[in-house]
Amino acid sequence: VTRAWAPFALLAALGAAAIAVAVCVGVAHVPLSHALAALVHGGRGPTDWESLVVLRVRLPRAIVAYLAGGALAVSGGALQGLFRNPLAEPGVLGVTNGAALGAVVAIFCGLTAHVPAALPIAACLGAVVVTAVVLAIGSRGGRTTAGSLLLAGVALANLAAAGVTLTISLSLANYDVGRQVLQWVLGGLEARTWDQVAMGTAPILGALAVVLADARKLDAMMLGDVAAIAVGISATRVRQRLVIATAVLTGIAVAIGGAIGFVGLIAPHVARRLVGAGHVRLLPACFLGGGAFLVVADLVARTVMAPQELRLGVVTAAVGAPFFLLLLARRRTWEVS
Amino acid sequence: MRALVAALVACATLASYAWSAALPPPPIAVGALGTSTVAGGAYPKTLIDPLGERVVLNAPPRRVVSIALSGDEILLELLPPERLVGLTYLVDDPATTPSSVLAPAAAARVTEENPEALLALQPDLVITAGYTRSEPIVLLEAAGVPVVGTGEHATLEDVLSAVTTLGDAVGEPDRASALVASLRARIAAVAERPRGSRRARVLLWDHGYTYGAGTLADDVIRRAGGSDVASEAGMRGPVDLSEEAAVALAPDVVLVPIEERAPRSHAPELLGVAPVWQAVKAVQRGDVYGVPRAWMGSVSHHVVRALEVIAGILDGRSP
Repeated sequence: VTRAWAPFALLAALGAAAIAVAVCVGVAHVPLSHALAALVHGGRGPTDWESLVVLRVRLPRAIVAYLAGGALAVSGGALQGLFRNPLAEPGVLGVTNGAALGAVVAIFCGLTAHVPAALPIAACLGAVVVTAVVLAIGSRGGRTTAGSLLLAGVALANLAAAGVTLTISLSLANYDVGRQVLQWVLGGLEARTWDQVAMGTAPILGALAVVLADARKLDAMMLGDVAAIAVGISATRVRQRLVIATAVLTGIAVAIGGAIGFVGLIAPHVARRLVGAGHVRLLPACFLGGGAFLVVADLVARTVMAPQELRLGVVTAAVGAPFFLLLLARRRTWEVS
Repeated sequence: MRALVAALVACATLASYAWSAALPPPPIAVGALGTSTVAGGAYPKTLIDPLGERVVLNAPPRRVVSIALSGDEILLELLPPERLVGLTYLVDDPATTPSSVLAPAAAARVTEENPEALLALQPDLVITAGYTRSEPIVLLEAAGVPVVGTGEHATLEDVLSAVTTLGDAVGEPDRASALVASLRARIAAVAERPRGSRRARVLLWDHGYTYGAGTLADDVIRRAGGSDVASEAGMRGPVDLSEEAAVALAPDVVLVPIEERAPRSHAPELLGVAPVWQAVKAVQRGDVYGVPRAWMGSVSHHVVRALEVIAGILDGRSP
């Protein structure tokens, strides 16, 4: 039993350590003892700038990174199972871009000015539409082929990206709206606040629960729809539920953290090495690993060239793209199960 | 079981969104920030910050930080350098601001994108602009740091009242009123000069952009004796303008912001090589002028220099 839990403990410890380091390191010099004191005592004394830096700049940013990374990784892990394809990932399938398009349109239409929740809801809608279309085109009769799946993803990713570009160019006519849209598109995790944590926590944990509840059925579906139906699983229902849950995970991650690629690709593959291919163990490991990865990536992004911040997407792509190419080169490791 | 999970998820999401609805809207949803006011002749003074919060200023600030270029420019006229601990990174570029020569090297260079560096300076007053995002302001409020925002500067009057507000906030009202008086005298001198009955139709061509009604450029062109063709055509604010559309406006004079620090006369080459410009009479005549961006693009007192330059250009070509 102990051995079975070891990888989870390792990943959780890694995540906690990453958050602790992220909270203690930054452009402003806050002595370690002060940072730890702020964490322990909470924000007492409103004029203590060091506690504010720790508790209201660095901590919410690290938690948003953790939530977004975890959500994208679980989304990637579940999509790889759902499509029975190791290259499936929210970014590759265009789901991330779909969510970004939803978010940008919501800002452009002024919805977010009145209803803050419009941003995550629109992002989720964009993600659901893209996932559903990719699923409809990329899989016929319960079988998905890598070629059509990836091509459908590429086409939709480009279409959504074009939509984002169109929205940006239209929004530039109005300075204030243009500035908000651009700030959202370019902004990685800078200036995250507890608002984003509040916005993301419940839907991400909720969607995570839905995905985990279907983990065993996902295992059965790996053998094909016929096999799944034979053991009494409605493959279509499970697929519909997972499409919505993974889209919510991606949509919320994009709404709180921006369009970040490659986390959903790398984390499941590393997690599979650690805990095996069974989704009951794989998906929680994805969450813990993806969260820790993104916190570390963000830490790298904001410290490597400090005080200049790298964009988070640059760091995840720098790690993710070579990893993706390695996967493509070594076809043997394409196994999902 | 599944229904239970779904219901729980829905409840949790609704609860968290109800909570976030009770919070102020997220910063990306905030448009232009409000304009601060400072009340009271002597300390303690009452400041209304850009988010509408009432803050008491007990004493003249000693550690002032500006995260807006216009704030940098005005403060450099009002405050001794040792009271300025942070300026924007733009302040060092002579093509962007004539104040670059005044900027003390000892002051840190900051941006609103980096709130922790801002807090680390431990400022006792921070100056923002209408376009500053609201997260750093919320954070500064929490840290007990007063924030002064001078809002949008859409007219020369806005610029003058920004100088007055900042003078009151930093406790240098006399220097501020002296600066305002000298600016008013220069603006009046431009207004009082003799000029022809017909206003020259002026296009400010910023390589694909121009500025319509409700912009400082529009006010400056009008006060210089011209008429902004973009504004005449019904455009508002900073707008995209293609070369074709610019040509169709048939201006009498074309002004181009330039990086050099001296104006340029009769410089049609500033428009580039697109042959379409040859359809404009002003271009054929050579009525194309370069105005240093450091003046034309300024939203502080430096824009009055642009006013004088444009007035000179319009005088030079009127009969």
